[in-house]
Amino acid sequence: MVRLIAGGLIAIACAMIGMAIRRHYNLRKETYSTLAEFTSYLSGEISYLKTTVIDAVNGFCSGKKNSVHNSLLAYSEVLKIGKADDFIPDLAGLNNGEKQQVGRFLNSLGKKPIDETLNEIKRNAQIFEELKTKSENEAKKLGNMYFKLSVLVGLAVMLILA
Amino acid sequence: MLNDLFSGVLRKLISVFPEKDIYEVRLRLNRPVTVVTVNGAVKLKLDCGTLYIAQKSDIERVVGVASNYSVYSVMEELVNGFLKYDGGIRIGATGEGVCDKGKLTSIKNFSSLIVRVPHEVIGCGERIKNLIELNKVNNLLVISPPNCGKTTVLRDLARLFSYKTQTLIIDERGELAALSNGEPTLDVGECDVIANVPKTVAYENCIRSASPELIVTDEVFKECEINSLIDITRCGVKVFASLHADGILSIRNNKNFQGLLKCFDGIAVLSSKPSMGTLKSFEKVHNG
Repeated sequence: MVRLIAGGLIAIACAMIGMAIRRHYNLRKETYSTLAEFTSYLSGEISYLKTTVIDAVNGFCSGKKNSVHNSLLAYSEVLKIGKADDFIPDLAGLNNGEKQQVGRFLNSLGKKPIDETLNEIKRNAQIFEELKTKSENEAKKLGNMYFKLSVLVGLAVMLILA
Repeated sequence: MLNDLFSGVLRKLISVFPEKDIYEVRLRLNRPVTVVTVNGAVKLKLDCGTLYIAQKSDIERVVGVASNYSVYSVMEELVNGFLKYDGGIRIGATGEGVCDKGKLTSIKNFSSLIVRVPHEVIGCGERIKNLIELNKVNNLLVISPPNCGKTTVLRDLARLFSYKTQTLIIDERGELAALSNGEPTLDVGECDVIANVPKTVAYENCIRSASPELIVTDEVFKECEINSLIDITRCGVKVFASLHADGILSIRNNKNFQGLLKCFDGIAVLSSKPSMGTLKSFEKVHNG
């Protein structure tokens, strides 16, 4: 009986680990998808209206709330006081190197004439689109695979212990 | 408001002066920072007695704050040599120009900034207003070298005349009324204000739409602006404008400006001595 309960608990733990892994991939997907949306929004605002970065960020984030929106709003706040040079966004699902890359993109905004700024946005938009597609595939394949695998491992351990 | 443009030690040094006393702050890269006040020019010094040297970060901070950290949004102004900031503060900027097919498209590597703080002197236009009425002047040209108070006097004249005349301010550089979200932050009475629009465009559009009786505008310079002014006065709209010149003779001797004497029948010359905005002379021009 004890072995059955222990096996059940291990199975649940494995399933939760699987869910956490799947969630990580889904968050990466969501982060890159939002970043791709942001670059597209930014490009439109800057090229047609010459909206300032702070206003564009606030406009994009209005009424939305994921880690990208929260990070962008935090960036807008430090930009207002002129202390955004070392800003690293706290983006869900991304490692430190990837966060720094997004931080470098944000810090490049607004410092150059319009053509150069738009080129920089376009270049990063392409990168984010590619990473979005990649993360969608990863979420679909790896996220689901690790989840199923964890559940299977959990069930297997439970069966062995039973 | 002025202090927001600066940070760190520079902000601390500038905040020693009351903002109302500051006329200009001059930042030149890797050279001492100068503050021009009512009492004259002062080079900023650190506590240890050495001169404060303007850093690249000081200049970037001013440009950043004034452009809301979006230089592209103010590049057109920068190409024209200045930046606007809240409260009518104007920042003259110099640096390396970037040209494309002979046309200046942007400015990079700023080398110096001159932050000019506007001053309101309510009532400083009273004397000129009396002279205008006494001499039955229709169109007034206020002239002086830079820093003699032309804009301050024009602003006060606009305010004084706005109570009885339909007055329109064409504020191309944002110094006369300093609009912020559509509202003048300096006292311009009951004037209508059109800001940040090139004068020639504003002249054409506003005469039709705002039907002004008096137009007040600052710093006439280009030939097209002079031609537009001549056209406007011909239409029967009165104009008060300012021009950089050191006296009436310099207008008479300059063929580009001679046309102005055909339409302006009053010329007020200002001086910075003994204080800014001092009326040096007032002349009724008989242009037949």
